[in-house]
Amino acid sequence: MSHGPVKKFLNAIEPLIWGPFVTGNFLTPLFFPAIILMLCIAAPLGWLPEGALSYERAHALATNPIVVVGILALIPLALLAGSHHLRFGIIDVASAEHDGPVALTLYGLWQLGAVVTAIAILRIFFD
Amino acid sequence: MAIPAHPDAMKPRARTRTHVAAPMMAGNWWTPSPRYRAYVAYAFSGVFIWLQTLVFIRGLWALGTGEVAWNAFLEDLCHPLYVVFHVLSLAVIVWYGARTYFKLFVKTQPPKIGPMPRPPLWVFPPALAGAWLFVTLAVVLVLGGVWP
Amino acid sequence: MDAPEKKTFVVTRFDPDRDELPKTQEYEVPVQPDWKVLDALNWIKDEIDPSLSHRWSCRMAVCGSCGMNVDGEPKLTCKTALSDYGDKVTVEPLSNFPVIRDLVVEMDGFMERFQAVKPWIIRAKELAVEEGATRQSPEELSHFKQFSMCINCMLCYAACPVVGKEPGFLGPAAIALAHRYNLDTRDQGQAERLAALREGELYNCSYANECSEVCPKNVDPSGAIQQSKLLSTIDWVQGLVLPRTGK
Repeated sequence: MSHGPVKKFLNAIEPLIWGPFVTGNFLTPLFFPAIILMLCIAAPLGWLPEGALSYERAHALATNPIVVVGILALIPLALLAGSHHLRFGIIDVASAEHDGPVALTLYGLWQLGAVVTAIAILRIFFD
Repeated sequence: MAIPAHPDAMKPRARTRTHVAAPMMAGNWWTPSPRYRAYVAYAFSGVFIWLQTLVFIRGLWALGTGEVAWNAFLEDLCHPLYVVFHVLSLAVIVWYGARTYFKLFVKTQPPKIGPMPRPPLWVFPPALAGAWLFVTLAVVLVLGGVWP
Repeated sequence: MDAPEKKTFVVTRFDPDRDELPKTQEYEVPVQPDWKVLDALNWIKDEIDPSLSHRWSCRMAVCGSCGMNVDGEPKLTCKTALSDYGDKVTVEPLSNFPVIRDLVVEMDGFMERFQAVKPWIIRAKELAVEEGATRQSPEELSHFKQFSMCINCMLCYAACPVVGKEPGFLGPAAIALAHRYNLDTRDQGQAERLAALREGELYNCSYANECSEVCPKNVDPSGAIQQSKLLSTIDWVQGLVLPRTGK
C-alpha cells in the first residue's frame, strides 16, 4: 500500500504517540471529573466554603511542585487523548483520505496546547 | 444502506481476477448498530476533553495574570451556559472514563510483560475504581479548601 | 405439523461476466423453525435458483467458510438461526471484501496478511534433537491458547471499520495470530514479528472492538491487538535505546 510522505511519517512515529496517548486516556477520567465538579460546578453554584478557591490559595496550589508536575503531565496528555480520539473519529465518520493533514493539525494543536500550558505555569511563578 | 468501503480494501497485492465488485461497508456511522454508535460517540468525546482542557488552560492563564483576572475567570464560570456545559462535560467524561476503565483497559494487559506476570484480571476493575475514588476524594479535599 | 413459515430473502447477486455492479434478488422461502440462514440459502440453490453461489462446508461453525452479512451484521450463516429474524432477511457478501460472485468474496488479501505476520515458531537457535522435547506448562499454554482458536472466518474483517477505510491495515485475525506466536514460550521471534505488525499499521486500530463482538470463537482479536500495541511500544522504545545487532 503506497502512502504519501505525511502518512509514512505518522506511521513511523505512531508508537511515540500511542504510549503518551494511553497515559492521557488513563489520567483524564481519573482527575477531570473531580476538578470539573469542584472548580466548574460546585464553585459557581456557591457550594464551596469561602476562600477555597481564592487567588492566594489557588496561586499557592499552582506553585506547589507536585501540583506543577501534575498539571504539566495531565493537561498536555488530556489534549493528546482528545486529539487522538478525534483523529480516528473523523476517519470513522468520513474516511482516511485526508488523515495526513487532519492528524498533523490535531497533533499540532496538542503541541501548541502543551506549550501554552508550560508558559501559563511559568507566568504563575513569575507573577 | 451499505456504503462503499475504500476501493482498495482487502485488495490482494497479486490479483489474478479481472472483474470483482467493489468492497462495501455496512453503512454510515449511525446505521450499523447502537453498539457501533456508542463507539463513535466515544471517539467524539474528544471534543469535550478538548473544550474542558481549554477552560482549565484559561484558568491557569488567568492565575498567572493576577488576582483580578482570576476572579473574573471564576465570575465567568458562574454564567448559566458555562454551568450547563460543565454538567454535560462531566457526564460525558464520566461515561468516557467508565468505558475506558471497565470495558477497554482490562483487555490491554498482556499475560506478562517480559518476566513480569500480570495480576489476575478480576483485580483491575475494583483497583481502577478504588484509584478513581481516592483521586476524586483528594481533589475534592484540596479544591474544597479542606486540605492543605 | 404447521405449514412452514415463509420468509423473504433479499440476496445480493453479482455475475462478473454479465453484471457491471451487484444487484439484489428476492426469494420466498418456506422455513422450518430450526433452520439457519445457510439452510435457506441451500434451499434457494436447490429449489429455485441453481446459479446462486455461496461458500459453506462443515455446517457446524468450525470451518469458517460460510461468513456473510445477515441484516448488515457479519455472521456465520450455519449458526445464525432464522427464528431471530423477521419476515425479510437481507443476505450480502461480507463487508470490506471485493466480491468475486454473488456471496463469494475474494480472500487473497486476507491470506497475504497472514503471511506477513510470520505465523510460525521463530527460533534464534534451534535445539538439537539430543536436548529433547521443548517443554511448555499448561499455564504457559493458557496465555496464548485463546488466540489460537481462530477459524479464519473473516467476520472480524467485515466488522472492522478500519479495514474498510485503511487498505494497509493488517486486520484483526492476522494481528491475533501474530500475538498467539508472540505469547508462545517456544517462540523467540517477538521483535521480528512486532516490527512486521508496525509495518502493517498496527496502531491504526481505533479500538472499536467490533471484531471481538462478532467473533464466533471468542478469540478476542481486539484484546490481542491492544496487547500487541503495548508490547510493540515497549519493543520500539527498546529498539531506540538499545539498538539490536544481527537478527
